[in-house]
Amino acid sequence: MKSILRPGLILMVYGIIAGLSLGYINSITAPKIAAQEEAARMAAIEEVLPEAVVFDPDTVEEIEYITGYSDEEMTEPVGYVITAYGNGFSSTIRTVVGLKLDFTISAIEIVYQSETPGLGDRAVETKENGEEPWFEVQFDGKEYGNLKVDKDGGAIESITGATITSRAVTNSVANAAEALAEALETRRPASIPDTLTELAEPKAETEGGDTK
Amino acid sequence: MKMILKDLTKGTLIENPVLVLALGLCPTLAVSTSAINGLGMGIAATFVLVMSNLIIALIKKLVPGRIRIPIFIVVIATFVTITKLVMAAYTPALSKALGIFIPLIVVNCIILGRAEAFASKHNVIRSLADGIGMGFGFTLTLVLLGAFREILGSGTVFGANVMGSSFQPALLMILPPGAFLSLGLMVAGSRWILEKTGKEG
Repeated sequence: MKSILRPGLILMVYGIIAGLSLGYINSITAPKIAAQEEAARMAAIEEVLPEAVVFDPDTVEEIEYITGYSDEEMTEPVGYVITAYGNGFSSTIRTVVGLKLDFTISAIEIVYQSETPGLGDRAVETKENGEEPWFEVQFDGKEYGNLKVDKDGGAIESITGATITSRAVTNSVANAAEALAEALETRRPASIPDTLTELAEPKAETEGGDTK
Repeated sequence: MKMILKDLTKGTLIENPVLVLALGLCPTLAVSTSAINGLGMGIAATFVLVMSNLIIALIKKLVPGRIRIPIFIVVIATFVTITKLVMAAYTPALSKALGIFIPLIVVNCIILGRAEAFASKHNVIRSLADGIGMGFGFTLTLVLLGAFREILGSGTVFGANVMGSSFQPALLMILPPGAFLSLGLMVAGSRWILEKTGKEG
């Protein structure tokens, strides 16, 4: 009995010391890490809606979104920014999505993923000589209604060997954009530009088979 | 004194952890896609190695032989977690680039290997020297390997273009096969140098 108890207790002491020191380090670094993540998120928001200079966070039907304005007085809205969450292969992929006023996609940026290195994480890869993140760039200017990866008959070229990741990003972006579009449409129809009603028609057809 | 100097320098070539001892090959192959990734991984692993060697040399008399491995792992995992948190807080770009490979330092066999084979048998000063020497050898190998693959695979070193605009990068070199090819060449090169200088064995 003693031969089991003693090593166990010794190991516990080591565990407690390790745990306490980690707790201390964590208390120092946690606010810094949070600040870094916030800075990265802000940078991504500005990246996906380059025309906007002022960003105004708001909530509609429990969807958090940000309206971007091109002037300081916030009279000229140029688009919206939302965060899309998609269940990838090994992580919940967070994508910041910039939408123009007609809800076509301005640009997207994946801000968090921990997919398989070399496969799924190529979603944020910059091609060969480091110019553009080729997967993300494909979303620029697309409409959310028929946003699908090539395997599902869409126009987004999926990442080789990482269809789950590609599909997760694509579908989450499409769903988030659609949810925001519908929520804003019902809340304040007056402020929606005319182009949206034209867009809403073809959207309804393509949406049918899409699983949420 | 002479022993300490030997502990400091042996990791560079004679007992190079990657090229001669063949330890820690998994992170070596995985992160050496560019020189900067190699440098970041090397420094992170060196920090963990030096700190774990130090602590294990200090506590070696307080560690019952039967449970030494779990205790070593607790010490190593603690320092890896500290490294991960500090990197995420102060160098987010590097932290993002190295991603999953930082937690994997825990299972880097160089660190447990040196704890078991060296730090648990030698005094604090020599264990520190061993950690620094081995860490330097690991970092140097990773940077050279990373630079080699980056030049051929992307035409750059540390992100700076060195091959001119007409250079067609061989993408293969930054893919996994390129890692094996480059590592094989480096091991052959290190054997050649060791045999030439008669320091083999």
